[in-house]
Amino acid sequence: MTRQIVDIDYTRCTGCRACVLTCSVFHAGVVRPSASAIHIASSLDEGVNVPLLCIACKERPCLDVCPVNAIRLHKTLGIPLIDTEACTGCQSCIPACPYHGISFDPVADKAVKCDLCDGEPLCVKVCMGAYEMPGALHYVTLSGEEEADYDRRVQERMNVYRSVKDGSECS
Amino acid sequence: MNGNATGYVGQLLWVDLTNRKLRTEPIDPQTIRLFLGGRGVAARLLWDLVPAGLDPFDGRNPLIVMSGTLSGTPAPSSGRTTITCKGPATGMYLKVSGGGHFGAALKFAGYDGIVVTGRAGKPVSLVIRDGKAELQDARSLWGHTVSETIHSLQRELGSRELQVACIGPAGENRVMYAGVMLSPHNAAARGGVGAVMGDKRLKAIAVEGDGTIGLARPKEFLKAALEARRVVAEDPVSRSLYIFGTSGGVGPTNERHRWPTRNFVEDHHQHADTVGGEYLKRGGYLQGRIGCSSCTTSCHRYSAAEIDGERVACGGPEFETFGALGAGLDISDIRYVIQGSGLCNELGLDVISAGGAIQWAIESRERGVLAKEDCDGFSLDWDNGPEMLALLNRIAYRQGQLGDLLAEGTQRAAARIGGESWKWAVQANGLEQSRVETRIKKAYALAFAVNPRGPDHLTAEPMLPEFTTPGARELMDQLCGPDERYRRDDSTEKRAVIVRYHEDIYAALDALGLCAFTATCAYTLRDHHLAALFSYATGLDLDADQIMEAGARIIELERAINLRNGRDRRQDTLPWRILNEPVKTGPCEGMRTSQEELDRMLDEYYALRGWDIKSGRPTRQSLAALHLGDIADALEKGGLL
Repeated sequence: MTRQIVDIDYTRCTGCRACVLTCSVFHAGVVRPSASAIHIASSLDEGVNVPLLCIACKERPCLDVCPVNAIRLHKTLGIPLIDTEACTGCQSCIPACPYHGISFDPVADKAVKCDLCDGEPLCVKVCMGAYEMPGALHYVTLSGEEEADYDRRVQERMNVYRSVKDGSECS
Repeated sequence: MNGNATGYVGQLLWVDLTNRKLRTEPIDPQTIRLFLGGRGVAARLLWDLVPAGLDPFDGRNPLIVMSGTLSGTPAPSSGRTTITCKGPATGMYLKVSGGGHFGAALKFAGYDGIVVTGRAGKPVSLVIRDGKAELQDARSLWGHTVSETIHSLQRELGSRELQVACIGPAGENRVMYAGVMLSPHNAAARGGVGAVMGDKRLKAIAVEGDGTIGLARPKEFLKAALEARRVVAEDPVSRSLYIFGTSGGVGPTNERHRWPTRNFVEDHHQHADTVGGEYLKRGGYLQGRIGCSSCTTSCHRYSAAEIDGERVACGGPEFETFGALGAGLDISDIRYVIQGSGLCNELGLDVISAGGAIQWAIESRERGVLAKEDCDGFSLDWDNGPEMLALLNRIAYRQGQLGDLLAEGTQRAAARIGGESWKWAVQANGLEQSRVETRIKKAYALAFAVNPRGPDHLTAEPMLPEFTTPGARELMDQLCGPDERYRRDDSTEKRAVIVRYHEDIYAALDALGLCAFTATCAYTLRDHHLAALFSYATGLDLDADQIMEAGARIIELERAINLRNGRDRRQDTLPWRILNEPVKTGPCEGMRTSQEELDRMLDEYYALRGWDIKSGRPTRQSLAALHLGDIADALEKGGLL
């Protein structure tokens, strides 16, 4: 199965959070940071911003960990989706995801993750890349031979994320 | 919280520092309908709170920090925050605005804005997290630079997501051009707003939250926001701003001899090829780009430069920074501009006035008005980067005779040292002029003269005549007709109609929290875009004309505030040098904006606004037409109509 992914080039991210705000409006009809499936970790001091969202991994620990089977694999998109009706808000899936691809919305009392906006992700649309400016988010189909490079870049990004999160200023 | 409010949150936090009392008050939807939000609501509050003649350092002078009505939404480039007070530099109305994420975070923390009055006994910080506000002891933060302050608060409160607006040492020491920093890199700095915050002993405002901003019609709003984003992002100017930043304009401006150099004595900088935005990128100093909340453009830079083993990184430098700390000082090494920009941000200094003050000092020394013994060992010469950096520190801490003198700004400094030094203090009404060649660019000359906060570019950016992008041409045709002669930037014709348009839409943008680079500069968003975004977000339906009318209402009210503080036509002026000293060399030799030219443009401008031409004062008719009848009553009572 090919994978549809929102590919992230964090070096292009300006930290504007248009993706965060748009995701929230599209899915929740309001703006609330925690209602968004995408989040940005920023270090203003180093000018580094790291977008975090579901990377459509192959291991899918979230599927296994959900006690009520509210997370199920979408057949054509190839990513896990949360059935919000079934989600009990137990938050088991959140620490299970090594990529911080699932977050919790305390107002809705539900887990939140990317659903690729039914195949037309709006975060990509509002990221600059859509307008001939080199943005950070790109919606692509991942072929078999690209997998290794993709995985390597994900690991690199997560390393940068950890250094941003544990930045010495805030330790 | 005002349960019916959407788009805006519906409440303001009122902070009385003297009595350590905090209270929450709802915002009446009618106020939002009339004044749109942000800058507009703040102007109304300032009118209500500040009696005529109040000393800007009186505790009753409020510091009003406002998000925009569209802050925190996906509306394009909606990252602007405004701060309003009576300004110490001019003694008049002062609005400053800056980018970043503070405004959006303030709304997620539960408030549209904060009204701070009084003065704390000891330094305090205001912390607002998820709707809960409290004052905290900030004695340990006093004396800290901006990034130290932000880091300390983030560490203390255990969150790197915390957004902080704070002052640096310059604000603490009431430097007359101390700014407020909205992040380590985003300044809201003109007119001494940071000195007012420092006088209140308010070191910082920290906000964080996961609150909800409702939207009246979310689907329609999202559609309008996506369309507006597309329109802005496809503009060639937006693209250029992304690639080179605002300072990409240095090269072209210099080539056309419109780049004020050496304290506005010259208008061409010999080192501009290597001291500007294009070289920032080519020379490898550009580290990245920083996006304000929901920005479509990311004009803001992140740069770094090393001098003698010391690396300094900064947000910027902007076009104005390259003017004030670069060309203005005839600097030949870009690294000093980068480090100077970083230093101003750390100290909480306004770059334009800081650069202006140093330029004035150098010229005063050159002309012998400033004696050697008054210079604390500084040689005060052009292209002296190390001295510039040292002087910025002296100014922020008011160290030595010279540092203390320059901290007062050029108007007061010139009054103190005397002679003819007031003639080369490139200021009007106490504010150092932005780095625009107003001897040549006549729309800017008019805009600067009538600007309620003094001669500067952040209440109108009338670059329309000289721009050739499709959006600019279309708007120009609409405002002035197709006649090519109006497209010259040195034409004095039709400037009033151009300036009025820019002022009105700029006021609306500020109120909504949108960046100027959506409707001016990148001439893309028009009144109908703003009307759609505002209406779908708030449910308070306004059409395109009503949006522009609200913009005009804000301008009218600001004019009334200044009138009550004694300003009318007599103060609608430009720096002496701009009016009296023609350009000496180059293709623009002999050009200046004469008093006669300015008078003609002013007559036309007042007439368009319905103001009294002789006095430049609003009239009962002009006020009433904008639903400001109560303001007219008050002015009449004071004998000012």
